[in-house]
Amino acid sequence: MIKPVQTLAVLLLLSIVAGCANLPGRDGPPAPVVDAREAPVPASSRQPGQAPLPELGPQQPEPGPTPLQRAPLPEAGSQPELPVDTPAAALLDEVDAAMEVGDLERAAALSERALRIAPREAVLWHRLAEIRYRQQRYDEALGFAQRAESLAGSNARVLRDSQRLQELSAAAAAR
Amino acid sequence: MYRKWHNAARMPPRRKTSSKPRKSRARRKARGWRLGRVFFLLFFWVGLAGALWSTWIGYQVRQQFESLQWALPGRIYARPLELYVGAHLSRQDLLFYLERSGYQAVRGAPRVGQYRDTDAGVELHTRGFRFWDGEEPARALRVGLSGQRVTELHSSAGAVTLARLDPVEIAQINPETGEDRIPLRRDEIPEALVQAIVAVEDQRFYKHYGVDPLGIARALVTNVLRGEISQGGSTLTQQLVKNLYLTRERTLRRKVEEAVMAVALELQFSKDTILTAYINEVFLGQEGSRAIHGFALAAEYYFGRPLSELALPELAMLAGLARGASWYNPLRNPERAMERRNTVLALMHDQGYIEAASYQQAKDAALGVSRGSLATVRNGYPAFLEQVYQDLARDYDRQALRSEGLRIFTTLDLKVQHTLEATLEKSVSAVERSTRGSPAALEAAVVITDASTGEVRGLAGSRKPGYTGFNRALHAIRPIGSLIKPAVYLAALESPNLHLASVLADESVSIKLANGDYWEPENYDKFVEGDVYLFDALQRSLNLATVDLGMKLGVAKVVDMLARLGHDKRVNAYPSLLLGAVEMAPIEVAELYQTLASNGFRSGLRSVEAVTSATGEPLEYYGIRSKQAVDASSLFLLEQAMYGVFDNGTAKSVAGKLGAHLPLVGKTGTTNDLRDSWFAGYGDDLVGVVWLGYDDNRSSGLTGASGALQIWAELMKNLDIQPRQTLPPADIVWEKVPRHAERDATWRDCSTTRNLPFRENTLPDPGWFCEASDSFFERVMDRFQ
Repeated sequence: MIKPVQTLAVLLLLSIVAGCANLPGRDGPPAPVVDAREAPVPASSRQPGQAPLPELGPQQPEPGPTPLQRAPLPEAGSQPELPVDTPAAALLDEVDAAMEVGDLERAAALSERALRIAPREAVLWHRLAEIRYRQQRYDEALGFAQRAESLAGSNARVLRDSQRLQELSAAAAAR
Repeated sequence: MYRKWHNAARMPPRRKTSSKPRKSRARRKARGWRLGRVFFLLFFWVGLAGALWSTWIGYQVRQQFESLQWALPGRIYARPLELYVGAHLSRQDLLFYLERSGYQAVRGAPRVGQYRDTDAGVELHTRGFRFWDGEEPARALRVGLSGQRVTELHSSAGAVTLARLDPVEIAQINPETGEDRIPLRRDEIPEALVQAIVAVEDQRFYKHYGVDPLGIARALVTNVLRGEISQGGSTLTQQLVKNLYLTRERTLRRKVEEAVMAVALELQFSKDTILTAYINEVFLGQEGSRAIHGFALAAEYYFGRPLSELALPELAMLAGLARGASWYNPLRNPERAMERRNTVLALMHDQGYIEAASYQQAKDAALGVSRGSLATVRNGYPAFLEQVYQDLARDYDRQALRSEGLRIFTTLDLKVQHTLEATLEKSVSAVERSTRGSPAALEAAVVITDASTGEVRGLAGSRKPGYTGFNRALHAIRPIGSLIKPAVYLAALESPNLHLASVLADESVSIKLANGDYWEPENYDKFVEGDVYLFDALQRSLNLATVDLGMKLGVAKVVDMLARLGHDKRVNAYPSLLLGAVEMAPIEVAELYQTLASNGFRSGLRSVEAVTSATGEPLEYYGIRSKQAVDASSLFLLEQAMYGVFDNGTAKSVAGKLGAHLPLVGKTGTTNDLRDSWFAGYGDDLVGVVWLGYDDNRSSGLTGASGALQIWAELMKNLDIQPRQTLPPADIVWEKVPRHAERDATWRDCSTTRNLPFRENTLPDPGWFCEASDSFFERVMDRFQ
């Protein structure tokens, strides 16, 4: 015969073990805390880079010189667009780096950060226009290019580039 | 059994059972077997049921723990402070920001989250933050300041071009449970906190399997020796299980469940995972309907600083709270909290976690609790937050904002908002005294936006800071009076035949309306001025001249101009529109003036800049918009005219106060019976709209100039508004005109002149200007010859 006390103990022990026997070991599931921090993205919001962003205007699907590449970007060795060592110039470098890798939303955000510091820098408004143009947001590109022009003053390069970008944006928006 | 059976065999028969001794023994034996079987079956079934139940519980615990997702409140941040040489910032402003951000003032070299105010400047060690547009590193900086400007910015590596502080959290959108927490990963938890928790709550935590009979015994002994309940018997795992899954009832069944679940949890998850969950879960305080969960939030709540910046005694105090957040609440029961903290420290020392020296030092430290700036500032800007919720509602439902831990970056400038709050009540009281005493309070609303980007920098929905009732900035829809005039004059200046020196008739007029009635407007002072220049009529806000201009131009042009400047609602083209018979909320007025301030580019107003996930992943960015509404030259002409509002127009009473800040652009507005007192204006950096009036629409006794303007001027002076500097567009030329308006060229008097800008292509006949013409005497003589 089996002693009841022992039986109970064995069964309880078994039951506890059984409760876990079908489960993986300790290094199985991830810590819940990490889950908790990764909030799901609301359906309505858009991740930058999810939709393929056009590198160029739609009228130039093939690689080759585009209006934007021809016109506004400064050539190496040319004089800087903004006074060096200013926060706006530092941010403009970051803007250009972000544009280079195609991170256009971030480039726009950085331009805006620079604009909050130097709201009358025509170069910054122009850069924002270029970014929106590359994103095919032509109406916005037009508005920013007009604003760049209105602030360009005696800066002939920004004046010329922003006028050209206005023409391109208006033409692209009309299509 | 054997012995029992044996004994039974040796036992003398109690009763003589002569007849069927064999038979009765057999029956007894059979009955024994039956009893055994019953017991066995009972054990078997009970055991089986127990096994199934435990399996079920184990399964459930695993499922639930794996999918454990805390509802995280949405967090709303103010605009971060940008530091760079030339930044518009006084030392006082910087210290204000540091205090609001929970930076701790120290005497020695600042560590992360600390600052030192010295003669040479402010030294601080920033915290670092993951912004939408990139990571800001934590670094030690020295900021030199002079007057209202940053003059120097250095780190140990040399000059720094640009740095920004971590943004101040101004509000949360709490989950429906009322629970609030900032969850941490294991590697973000300070070791000293882990040691303190283990020392006081469950010192054999790393040795047991969820339940700890030895621990219970030890706790009992400790408590008896110390003569107080300093330690509990249940393990951290049991406490976690209890908090997560079980009710508060104290029954045996619940105790057993708790133990089984704790063991199941331990068998399936690592100690670190369980500990991390415990540290994030535990309840540590209550503020109104908001429950403070987890140590990270508790650190902010009690010390106004992040957990990572707390020292040993502070961590020990928090660890001590887990036992009874209300009983040991350091804000209400500091002595009890201090005692409890020292108990924790003593246990840490006893268990070898801390040396005697640091134990002594920590024991002697002050409690250091500060219902710091972080906590009190929360949800302190209800008027602005209402605007934020409105803007967010376009893309996010309430549930997502409440539970997914979204980080919302707003445009609120704390410096602007606080200056606004500090100025408003005082300056409203000042103008209120001058009106006939009335029982209800004069009310106010203010909107301040960024002149270039349309970002809302500050908002007041009442004269009282933090007022949560009717938000007048968004909802008090009132006639705007003369605030409309810039739209009328701008529409005029766009026309090729009108310019600043056009002569208008400021004369009584009677206009027949569509319904047959006659409209007979008057000037505010009831006088008529006769012939006046267009610019002069605007500066002095002459009603009759404006009606003359508007009727020539056509009211439809004004309706169109309002729409272009940003007013989206339908407006009736009645003649009375020319004098502001259109109702708007202050925020709508701000939208119109913002378009003027951004040189005719419509940006719309924004209060939210970006939204990221709880971990900083970018979700949505609400960028600047910019659509040209008016050409730069027309706007330039309008601004030039409006500078005069301060020099010799309706706002000249504040010209002295604003001296160094001029030129500025602004306009007074007064409505019928002095019900509404308005002022809207802007400089290079800010746009401000002020409304004063009574909620029940009775007369305020104030004109735009005697009421709202006074508040606007005081506020803008305190905000150090930057003078307006608009570059003249290429087609602007300057010409001299006679000081006094005169239609007939013959009678123009060029002995005193004033210089006015004109658009090249709208220049009147060249002979019209003073320089080109002969002297007054010569012209009169010519005429007679």
